[in-house]
Amino acid sequence: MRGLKVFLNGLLKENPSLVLLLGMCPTLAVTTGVSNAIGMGLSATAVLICSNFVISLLRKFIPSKIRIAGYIVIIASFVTVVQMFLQAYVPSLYDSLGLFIPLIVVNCIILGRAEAFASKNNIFLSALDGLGMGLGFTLSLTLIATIREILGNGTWLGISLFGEGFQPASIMILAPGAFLTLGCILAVINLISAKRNGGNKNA
Amino acid sequence: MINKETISLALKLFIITALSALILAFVNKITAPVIERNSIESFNKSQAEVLPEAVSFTKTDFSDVALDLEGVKIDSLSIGLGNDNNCIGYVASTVCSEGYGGDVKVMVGLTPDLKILKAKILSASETPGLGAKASEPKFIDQYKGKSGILSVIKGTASNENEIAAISGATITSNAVTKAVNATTSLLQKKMENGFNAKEISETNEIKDKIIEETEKQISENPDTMTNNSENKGEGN
Repeated sequence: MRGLKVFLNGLLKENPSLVLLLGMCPTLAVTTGVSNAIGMGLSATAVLICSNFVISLLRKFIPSKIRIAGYIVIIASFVTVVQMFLQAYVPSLYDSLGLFIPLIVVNCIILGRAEAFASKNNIFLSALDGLGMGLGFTLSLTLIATIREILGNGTWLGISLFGEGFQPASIMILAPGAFLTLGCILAVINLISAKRNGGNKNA
Repeated sequence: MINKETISLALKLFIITALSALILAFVNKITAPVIERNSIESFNKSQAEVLPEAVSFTKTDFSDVALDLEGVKIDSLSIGLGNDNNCIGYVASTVCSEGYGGDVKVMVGLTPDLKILKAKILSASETPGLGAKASEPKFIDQYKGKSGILSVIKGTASNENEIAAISGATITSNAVTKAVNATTSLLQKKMENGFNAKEISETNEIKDKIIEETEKQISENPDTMTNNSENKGEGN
């Protein structure tokens, strides 16, 4: 039961990009297309699960004084491994994500989860937390990318939705569109959560 | 005591980094050959795509041509050979660093009289939905059948040597055109210098002859070798 709670925590309640507001750089940069968002999300998920697993495994070995240095080395190694595997076996995905993969290293979701969860919990729960957080990250990226790709390019996952007559709003796939979309989504989420605990908080 | 702790910290960090290095070296050893094969394969595939009639390609030196190209670098120049080693066209890949998102890598296939058969964008990091449209047929197929130095115009192209820019992405359109133009002027200069396609196919024929002869010698040699050893055996 604990496991399910941990898993859902990352997916919804503490969704890394939409609730915790972590990992904003990839959230804004990669969401120009749904396929990029899914690729980025799943790559980050793989790194998150592996790094949470190893950091949890080593949580008694790594002294707290050098933990950040240790975490960074472990995370950077996993990112490089993922990068090399993608380049070798999924070159098309590597081509479109190429620039963003090294960014996973500095993705604060991964360091954040290592610090906040994996260093205090057992291996199983940590890996599960990584999976939940990773999928939560993937889903929110996909949501933002869906809005941006449909409005900005008239396509979803590269499939044309409206035909020739549709004039896409290019601003949505440029940088400002990322901020606009993210702002609107956050507003909706805050509205929902404010209504939920509206009685006791916002008097 | 502090000293002891410092040593223990350093040692632990060393163990972590050493293990990471070991894992990375191992993964690199597995993936490096695959990555290299991928890149060669995709290069060959692109070459075959821009010059489909060629049976094989030979890389050619182009360092003898001094080109005054700003922002464009020539990566490779190959000659496409037909069935009987005759030159049926050229393929060059060029990089223009003046794209909106950095380098734009373009490969162009040309006929022997420098008419563009096909241009292809190998890699680019242009804005999706704007500059990235450069690889869509609507833009890139404009180069087909063109020759000479091309220029980009906004709106619809009316002249023979004009390319209609992608709307909202003039910088990308310019970068691609610059790369294509670099290919044309490289080959033009090479021909002014007396670069002759026939010569190349002749040198290739000579090469082939040499290869054939050595192969013959090799196939004849084993006999002589065995004869020699037999002789030696008898002598002893």
